[in-house]
Amino acid sequence: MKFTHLFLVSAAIAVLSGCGTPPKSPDELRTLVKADGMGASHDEFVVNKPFRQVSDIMKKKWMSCLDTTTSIRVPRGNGLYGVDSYAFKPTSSIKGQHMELALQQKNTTANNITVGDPPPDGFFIMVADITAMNSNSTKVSLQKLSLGFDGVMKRSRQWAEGTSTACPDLTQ
Amino acid sequence: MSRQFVGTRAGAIGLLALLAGLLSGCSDLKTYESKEPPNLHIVAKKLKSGNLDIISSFSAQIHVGSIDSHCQTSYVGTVELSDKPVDIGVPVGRQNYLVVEFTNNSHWAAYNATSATYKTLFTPRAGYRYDMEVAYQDGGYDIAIYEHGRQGGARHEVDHRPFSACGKS
Repeated sequence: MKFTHLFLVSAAIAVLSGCGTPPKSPDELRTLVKADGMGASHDEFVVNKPFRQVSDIMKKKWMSCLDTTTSIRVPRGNGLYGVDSYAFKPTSSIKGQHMELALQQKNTTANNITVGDPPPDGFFIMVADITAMNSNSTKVSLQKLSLGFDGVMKRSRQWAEGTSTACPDLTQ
Repeated sequence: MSRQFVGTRAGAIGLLALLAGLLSGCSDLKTYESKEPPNLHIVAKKLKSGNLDIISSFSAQIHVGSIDSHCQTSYVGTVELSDKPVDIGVPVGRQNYLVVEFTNNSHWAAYNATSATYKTLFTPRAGYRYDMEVAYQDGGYDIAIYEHGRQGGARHEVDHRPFSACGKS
């Protein structure tokens, strides 16, 4: 996993250095996922439960599990170590029979300079769209545009389907 | 030690400073000392890193903060979690801030020591007992707080409350 972190950090730097444009809004993220941008992943499925039931549990789990911070100790060379820190912010909005959940990631590492003019709470890395299909079925669309975070995708599906309540470890 | 944060953003920065200090070996964490009778029973279980023990070790802690009427948070202390349950006293009738942190320390000196946090406001009621259950396994964790009725009986889960709910009823 530790090698993965270095790779992810390198990849993130590549993205932020101009190899891609990190999304600054949920709509930008959807557009970039549709264009199959780097790190794009899309999972869409239908749950045979009422919209209210699915949206309630999804909102509850996003707000409790993803409002978090992570820190990863990494070597800086010459036997020195540094700590890369990130803050995650989940948000939700609902319009009628549609709920949007979004997740932002902000690099809070000391002395870090993030290029690309990120929003105050960081670039958007994941969006979940929950839409009522009829009185007893709900469509869930999970989209991410970031390397890693497969655990969030996996857990989100499990939350919607009701097969797990566990939170993902965002350092994995 | 006095750590004070105001609002969600500053609170997060303060917590990150805490984590950064921990990971860099310059931690100024201190053991949480209960000034109240025990009312929170903490059980940690299935604490496995997902890796072989010879590769890494795993630990979990709960940082406790107090919050004043202006939503300023002060770090009070830290509870180390192990396989043995622990009972602590959390001030009743006012908001407290609990931060659960998981740390995975590799025994190989390179890039190691990762951690994640789970944060919630917690306002225990006088005369009530609470259970906090923390589990970690296979890259996921489960945390829940339950409140027991005054006369025993069934317990119910206490809702998670983000820091942004501070000051709101």
